[in-house]
Amino acid sequence: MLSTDKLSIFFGGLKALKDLTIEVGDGEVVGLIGPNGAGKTTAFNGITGVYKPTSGKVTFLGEDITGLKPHDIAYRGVARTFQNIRLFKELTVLENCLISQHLRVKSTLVGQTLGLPKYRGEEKAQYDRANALLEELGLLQFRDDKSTSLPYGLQRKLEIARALATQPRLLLLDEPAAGMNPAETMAFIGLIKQLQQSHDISVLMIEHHMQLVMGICDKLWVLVYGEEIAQGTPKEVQGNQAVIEAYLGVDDDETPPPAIAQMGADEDASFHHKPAGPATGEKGL
Amino acid sequence: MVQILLQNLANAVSLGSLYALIAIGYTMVYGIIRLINFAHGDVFMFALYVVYYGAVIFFLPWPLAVLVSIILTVILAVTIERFAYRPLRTAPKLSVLISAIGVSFFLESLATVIFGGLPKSFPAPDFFNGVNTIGGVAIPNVTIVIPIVAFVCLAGLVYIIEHTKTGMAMRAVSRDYTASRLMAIDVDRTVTLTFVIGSALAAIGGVLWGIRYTQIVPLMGVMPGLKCFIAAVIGGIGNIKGAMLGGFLLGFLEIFLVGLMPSLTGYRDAFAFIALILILLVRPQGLLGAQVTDKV
Amino acid sequence: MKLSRNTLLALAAIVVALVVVFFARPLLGQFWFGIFTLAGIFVTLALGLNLINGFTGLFSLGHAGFMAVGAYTVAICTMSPDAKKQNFFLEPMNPLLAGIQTPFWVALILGTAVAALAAWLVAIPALRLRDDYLAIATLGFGEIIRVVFSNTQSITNGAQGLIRIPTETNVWWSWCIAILMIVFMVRLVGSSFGRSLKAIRDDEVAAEAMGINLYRTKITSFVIGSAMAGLGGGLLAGFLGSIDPKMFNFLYTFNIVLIIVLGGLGSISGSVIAAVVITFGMEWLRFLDGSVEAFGYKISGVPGLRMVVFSALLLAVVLFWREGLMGKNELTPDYVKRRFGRKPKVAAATASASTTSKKGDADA
Repeated sequence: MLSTDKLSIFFGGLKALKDLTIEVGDGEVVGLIGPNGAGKTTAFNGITGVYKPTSGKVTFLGEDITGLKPHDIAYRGVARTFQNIRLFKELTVLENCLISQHLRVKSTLVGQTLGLPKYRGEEKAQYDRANALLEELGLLQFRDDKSTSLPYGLQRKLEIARALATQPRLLLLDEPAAGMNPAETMAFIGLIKQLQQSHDISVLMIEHHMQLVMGICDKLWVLVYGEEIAQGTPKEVQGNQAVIEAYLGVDDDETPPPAIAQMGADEDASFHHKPAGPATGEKGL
Repeated sequence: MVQILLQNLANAVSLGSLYALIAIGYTMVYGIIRLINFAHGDVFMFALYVVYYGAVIFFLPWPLAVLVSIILTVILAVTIERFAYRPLRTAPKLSVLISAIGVSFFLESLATVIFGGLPKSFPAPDFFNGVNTIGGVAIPNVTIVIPIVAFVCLAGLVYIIEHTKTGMAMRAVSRDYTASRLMAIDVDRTVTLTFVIGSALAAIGGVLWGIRYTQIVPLMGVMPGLKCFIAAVIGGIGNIKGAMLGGFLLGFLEIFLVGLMPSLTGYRDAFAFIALILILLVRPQGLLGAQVTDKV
Repeated sequence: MKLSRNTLLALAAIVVALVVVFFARPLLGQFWFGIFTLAGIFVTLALGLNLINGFTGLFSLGHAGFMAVGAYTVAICTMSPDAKKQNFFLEPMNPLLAGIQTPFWVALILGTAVAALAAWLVAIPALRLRDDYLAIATLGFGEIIRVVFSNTQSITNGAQGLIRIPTETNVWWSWCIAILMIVFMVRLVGSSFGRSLKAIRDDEVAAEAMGINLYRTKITSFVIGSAMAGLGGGLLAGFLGSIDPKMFNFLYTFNIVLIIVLGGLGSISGSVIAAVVITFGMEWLRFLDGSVEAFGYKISGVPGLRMVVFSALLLAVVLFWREGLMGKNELTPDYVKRRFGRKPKVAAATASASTTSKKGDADA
């Protein structure tokens, strides 16, 4: 479904990602793991068009999507969540799921403003889909609440619901289980499996939670300092010496203390190429 | 022919110096708190009026009037920062921009009310009216003095920025506001200092401007203000040397374009805006700025 | 077709509004009636700017420039050849334009269209820029338009401006268009497109990841909003009867910014209320500029004091009352119930919610 071919992203001299070659097959759940700062979110950003790759290729459903803009890639069926949760803060839970359906609207602006029948049908479909997704993720009762009034865990679920509303074939999850305890993580595994079935999607996820990763991923890729050091099934990777050395192997039963996992989340923050505007003080005064 | 060229050159250097002095205020403030200080041009106007009132109404000796003007202008700028900008430091950027516009209009209308709309004549010692003949071209003293004063000020500024702890603090805050606070840099004080320097230079530039152009009106800060901001952007906003470069470039552009094509005089004000839009499209970080990617 | 309660209320509101307009003249008297007409024009202008600045979160400061485009287009289209000859005494008018004369409604449509075109041309480069740079760029374009109009003697009569423009704008033109614009805005903002605008305002990165084409959407919003400025400008030309390039300066844009900030960036009803309040207030405060007869004494005003008050007002709003009158809410029955209803639990919840959100702003 998705494959990258020697995807590299350099920021000037800084090597963020080098020669990443991964594959996500139809219906698979693939994990991208690695220590903090390994370039995992950078990979996401390169795949979804937030960064223009320095070299390499990204292919999705047989089409070369390298260097396309994020909205074009979303249109083609790749949806994502964000490491630092980027919900639409001022809007309600329902509105968050409605907006992400705009990309599929075929009515013209005139049709929308006049309320022509074609648009009315599309809008009803939007509401129906949003409601269905919210119900599936257990968020329906919060429908009219402001999105930021939800507790952290539910906000993450809302981000997933919002992403699913774009009707993707591939879902990119950036640390979806951050901050979850083992019980919640088990429930989350069940949720992913269920979503896969009901929406016919494949999943590529970045995770630090070994419990989750080992529990659900069909394949793993391990990144360290922007380069791939291992790949394979969870069992294979677990036993890989290089991985154990590089990544302070953690058992299935343990999860890294939340504090460290959170620190990792902050350090792995990545860079976004802002729209044109003068430099924001790189040279200072 | 050479004479006309020399004349224009002298004027361009002069105008460029003035623009550079004012542009620095914009670039420093933007560099440190990411604000386009719309009120900077009006602070400049205020400085001129203080000299006028000091020398003409209160009969202060001219140098004293200038000193008082610099001091009062700095106080004004610091007050504006404290009451109109600082409270909005955590607000969305739109709010503080609106505040800056509000301050600008407030100062302009207040000046109109207090000083009246009729132009006044800027007082200056006779020395500046003296004319030197260099290379067969008559150049008034003021045209020579301006670049010299500007150069001294700018050199002093560069020294402060690059060789003092205060300057280092300013550079730190402009690079990373939050980290600076964590490093126990008194950000409020640093920001205030930035406004102090910027407005002091604007006041000096204002005095020089007044000597050169003699006429003062309440709205005189509008056009120079906008143009100097544009100069700062062209040079690379946030970059002091860039502001100087931009100021000189704009001065040269204005003088020579009108000199070579007099029929375009009416469009003189539009040049700066056209230059701005061009630079934002072609090289938005400015001539001396560096392209930066931000965190997402 | 089942009409929702809100739609019925909206229709009722429109009918009431039209009745008010009908009775405005005898109620207000000649002078204030004129101001009432002007207020309607400002509603259109405010809504246009609110679409760009309030709902999409962009920052356009060039509104006056597009008003000028609309005003001049309408003026040129409606002036009689006779009036044109009289105006263009310094330099004869461009013969193509001298011969044009169209009915008012055609001129308005043309004015809106030309303004939209100008906005589109401005938007293409300008909307690549970041927010505060967009502000300066649009300000720049507004000034460029003004300077150009001051210099194109044969088209716009340059700095002399135009007089003897047919004063076609009556209260019906002004307010019916205003009501039409209100309905248009409500439909637009409530549509899927409108939601995408709010998404862009909220978080551009997330919006783009959810499939929204940022550049195209921003351009559309900018063009529509500026076209409305052109429409308002055209109505203004027909109201004042004379225009000149100097009046379409940054101060004019500032007036409209004040209106939408006061009413609440992102509230349609807020803009409407604020437009009326400010237009009337601006006139009422004119006494500050001129002298006033009170108790047999003449209190002389000071020219420019009005502007001092208005800029102080803008500062006060932005410093102490950032949300403005309505914030992002609309004047619906639900809102009225929420604000003024006797529900202490809900009131407490809203109060704590607003304090938490304020805290959130401070931490942001």
